[in-house]
Amino acid sequence: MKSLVRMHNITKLFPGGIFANRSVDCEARTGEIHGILGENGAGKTTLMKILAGLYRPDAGMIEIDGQVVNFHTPRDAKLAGVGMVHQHFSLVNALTVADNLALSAINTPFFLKPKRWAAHLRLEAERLGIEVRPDAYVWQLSMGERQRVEIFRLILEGARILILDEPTSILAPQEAEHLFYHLQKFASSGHTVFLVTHKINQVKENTDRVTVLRQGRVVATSQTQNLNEAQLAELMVGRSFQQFTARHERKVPSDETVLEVKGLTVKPLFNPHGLVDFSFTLRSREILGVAGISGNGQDELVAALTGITRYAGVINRMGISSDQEQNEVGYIPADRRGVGVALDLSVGDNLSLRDYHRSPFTFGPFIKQSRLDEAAREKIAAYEIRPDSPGNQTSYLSGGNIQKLVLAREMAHDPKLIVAVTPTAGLDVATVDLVHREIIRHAGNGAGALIVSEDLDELLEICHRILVIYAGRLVGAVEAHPDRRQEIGLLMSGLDLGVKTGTAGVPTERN
Amino acid sequence: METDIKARLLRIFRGQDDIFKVIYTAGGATVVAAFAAFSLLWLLLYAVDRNPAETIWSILVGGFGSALGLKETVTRMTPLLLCALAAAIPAKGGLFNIGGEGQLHLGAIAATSVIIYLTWLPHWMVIPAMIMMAMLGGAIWGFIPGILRGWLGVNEVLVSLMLNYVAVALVELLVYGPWKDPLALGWPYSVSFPEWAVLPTWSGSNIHLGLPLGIAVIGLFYLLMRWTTWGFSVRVIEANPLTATYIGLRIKIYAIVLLSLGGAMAALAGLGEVSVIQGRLREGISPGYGYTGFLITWLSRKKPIAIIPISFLVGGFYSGADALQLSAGLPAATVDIFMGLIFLAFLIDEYVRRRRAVAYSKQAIS
Repeated sequence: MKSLVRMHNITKLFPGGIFANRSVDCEARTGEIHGILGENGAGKTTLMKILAGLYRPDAGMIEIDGQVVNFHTPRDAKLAGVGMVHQHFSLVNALTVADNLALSAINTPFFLKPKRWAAHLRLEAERLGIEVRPDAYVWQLSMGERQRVEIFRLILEGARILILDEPTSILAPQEAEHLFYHLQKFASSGHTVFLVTHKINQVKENTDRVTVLRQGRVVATSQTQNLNEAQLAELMVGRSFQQFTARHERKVPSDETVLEVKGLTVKPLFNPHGLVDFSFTLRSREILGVAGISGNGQDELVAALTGITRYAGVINRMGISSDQEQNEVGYIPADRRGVGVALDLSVGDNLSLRDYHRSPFTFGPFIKQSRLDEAAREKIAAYEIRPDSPGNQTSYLSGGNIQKLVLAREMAHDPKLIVAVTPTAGLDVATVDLVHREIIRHAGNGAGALIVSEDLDELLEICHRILVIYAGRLVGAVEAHPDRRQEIGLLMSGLDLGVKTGTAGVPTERN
Repeated sequence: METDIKARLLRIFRGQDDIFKVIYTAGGATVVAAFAAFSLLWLLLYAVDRNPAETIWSILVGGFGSALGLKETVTRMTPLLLCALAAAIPAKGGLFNIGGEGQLHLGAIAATSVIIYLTWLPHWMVIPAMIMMAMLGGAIWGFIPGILRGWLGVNEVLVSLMLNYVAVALVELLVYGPWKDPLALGWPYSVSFPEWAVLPTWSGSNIHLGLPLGIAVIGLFYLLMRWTTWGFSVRVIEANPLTATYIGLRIKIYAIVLLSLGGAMAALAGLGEVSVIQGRLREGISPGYGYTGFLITWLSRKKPIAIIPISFLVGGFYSGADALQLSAGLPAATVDIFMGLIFLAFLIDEYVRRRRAVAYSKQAIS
């Protein structure tokens, strides 16, 4: 096995003095799936974007197949055989697969006969063993299928080096399995795959070698089998770290109901299904997960629960009256920067958002700023928000610190009901752990928590029960045990209960 | 030594990594923008065969160079300041009130209605009544865009803008119709304001109560925004309406309140024009004070205190424009061109700033 890609001494500095990559050396061989492991913000995506020609390194060089290359544009990288699948696909939803592929192909003639092109695509797909439907419109395809089209596109264009950036975040477990199967085939035929991820188990299961990045530098490169999960975690974070211990702190759910939802129906807001006849009960001390691929009705559910939209059906928050509601519900939104905080306000102001209009922080219509500041400082200390001055503008904080801010604010009143939507997306390992622990702790004190997440691992980790949502309906309620993983995965894709699916997994008939 | 100072400067300006960016961030951009406007005016004056230096000097002297000029400047400043407030108050909540002109006229109408219909009022009550009625009239004219925005989602810019035309037409209707002074020999004027209905002025000039009122409101508003829960809520709404909704603030109500308050401020300007400056209600009581006021607010970059010096400056230009007609034989509109160029320069400056900020933040995040 020889080196296909060699990146040497890569350094990238962004304005503002941020070193995204510092003297990074990385080397991958043919036939290998190479993992790039690191926390969010460690510099993984930047490094791969340099390889894909999207950024120019400030120092260092890249060698492909023994040849030094100097990419001026992403096209140069494409021509050199580098293909990157981004987290947000570069497919045009309104066109068919065939059209999309024609759009990005390099050497197509001026006049292209659609039938011939489609036939060509089908031939290639069969040869490579990838399932694609050239005549389907992209908007009809599931996320997994779209990703397949992306990969197919890159291989068609002659990619020998495939880069995937957090590919499983939008996939159901079964689709993830298929993906890695295809990647393995691709690598074995003399190519290289880079897998960028922060998930240690994914690295352990699917990669041959791994490079661990931390704060822009390489901290280790090794054969995957030589490092165990604990070691990888420690390398990623920089100190001894135990993943996934929070679950042991969970308490048993009590019998007291905190939230009762019956027949909840919401008009489609963000996806074609809306929410249909959704019913469940949340008890005190219970952590309930809502699993499902993004866009199957979770947004509507959360919008109804937080009072943003009208709905049909019953939502009963036990023991919480309407006026108290604002303080008895802790809501951690999906979009922490866009909804959870007001970026132009200071950290202290954002922390005070639930307090400033109530005693003991007011004096008639006036605000007792000193008391608010004190409370803000306490929260900053408790959650270790950095940088730690309450006067800082919130927009300068990293995603992890903003999430801590939101948590600190929402949990400060010991809410009886916690609704958290993808609370750990994009966060570093330590903060993920903090979020989990806080939720578990508050649940332990009597709150009921509803966690909406696409990350099945997370839900299996901290929840007692998991509801599965598909096409706006509740398709299953499963005990959160690792053995039930397959089952949940099937439910998430709508492939259970004898539901026949048409394109995009939309149910066409039952039984 | 030199690098040391440079490094410190750079650190102050948040890691900008070259000297041009430092100047830019320091607000030097504003100076550059003003300079650009100046140069354009220079060229323009050259093109119409006038001595640019003399002309510009005439404007400045006319506005600021004599006691008379200064008095005129401060007189002009008053309605500008009030109309700027009309836009500034809603702006603190993220709203755009371009209806200052219409709200001004409504204030004028409301004030006039007091002397026409409430003739039974004891004289000492007339002025307070006029103030209240004017503010009410302006508030209504601000209320309409507010409620349409809350109820129907109609953009307040459109509604307030169009109401300007309605208000001016209303004045026309009244002075040609029911309120036409029979003693005015056919001219479309209302009856003159009797002396007890004229606002107190400063020793014989036309500088009236509106000015200290306006400045007091600026101070009051500042306190409100900084020290009260209400002010905090407004700040949250402006910073992020989504966050505001999710903590339970009723944005629609705040919008209505802010727009009504703004309207009330412009209405005071109308009161001043009709009571002191013109002495009666007639057409043309405002040479676009509402619109200029909006631009002043925008120039003040969300700091209401800056409205005071800026409206003083603009007032000076207006007053200097009068002098310009005499000294240089140029139409007063020349000053409008000058102000237009300044505003244009600031627009471009603002736009470029925002583009750079977005570009930097995009790079940093990815």
